[in-house]
Amino acid sequence: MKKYLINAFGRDRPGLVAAITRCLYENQANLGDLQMTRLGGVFALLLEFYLPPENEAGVSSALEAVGEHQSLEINLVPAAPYQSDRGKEKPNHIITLYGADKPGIVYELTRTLGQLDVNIVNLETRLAEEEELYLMVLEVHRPDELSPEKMTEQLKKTAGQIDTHLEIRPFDPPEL
Amino acid sequence: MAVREIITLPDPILKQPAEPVEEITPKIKQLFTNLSDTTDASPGFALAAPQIGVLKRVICVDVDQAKRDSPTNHGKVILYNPQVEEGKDPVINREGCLSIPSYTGDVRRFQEIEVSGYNLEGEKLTLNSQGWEAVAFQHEIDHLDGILFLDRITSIEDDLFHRK
Ligand SMILES: [Zn+2]
Repeated sequence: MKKYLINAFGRDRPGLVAAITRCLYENQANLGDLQMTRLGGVFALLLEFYLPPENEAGVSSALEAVGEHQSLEINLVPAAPYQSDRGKEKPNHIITLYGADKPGIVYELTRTLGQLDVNIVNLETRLAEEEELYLMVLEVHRPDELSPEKMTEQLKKTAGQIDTHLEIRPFDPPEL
Repeated sequence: MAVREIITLPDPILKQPAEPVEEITPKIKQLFTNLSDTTDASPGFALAAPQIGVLKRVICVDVDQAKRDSPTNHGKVILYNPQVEEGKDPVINREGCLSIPSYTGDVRRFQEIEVSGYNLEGEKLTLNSQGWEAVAFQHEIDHLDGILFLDRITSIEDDLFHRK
């Protein structure tokens, strides 16, 4: 079994996930993680799956047909070139940041994270248009070499420079 | 010392309701001990009897083992027929379950509860419990009804974001 990735975009309506996963099911694919959301009102999907390599051509042409029929933009790639050890890091902190919307918030925060070698595991942002409030929630992995204190200090400094409020908490769910 | 194996999904026993304890038999005393020992040996700090394969309404919560701050700490509490009598301040927290080791989820739980139950002397206890201790009591009592955190997952989206 070989691992593949799909991303897809389209005009949102019921049946799109079924249209895509049907191509996979009919070609003996085994699905892994899937995320579907509505991004600014647009259908957006990310999916990993496993497939006997000899079925790749079949999936590829089935997806192409679905893409054409449903007006979906679908990209299919093998996962191997993108696998890495850093991609296995688990989140150990949650960061929330919010403030008045303005250009550069995401860039400034993520640039600081990159400089600190902090890896983003999950990131969601929203603009609440009425309040013009920009909100980010991130789950991140802090490497052992970086102290939580130093990370917090650097991130709060960056947040202050862009007039936003930042909180950082340990991500450590109890097992019960 | 009797450390039991912790049962994990998809074992169907985790979805079955547990029976009330009617009298304190030697078996029930043994269950208290096994639940206590298994909690001590586990990476968590609370367990319910169905998690060690016994469909009886018995739970163990021990915040001392939690390595996290909780505004109330009653030490190790083992109760039969426990109940949440009252709850307030629901808050969403990420939690995991020893019976579902690969996942965690966001669950809404009361941050303060009155929880009651009986000890091995048959005495009824009522405790005011807060923070992680209160979360643990609610999680374990759910196990007695065959309810897992997966059945209660709340979307962060609904709470944080205006859904477009
Ligand atoms: Zn559990």
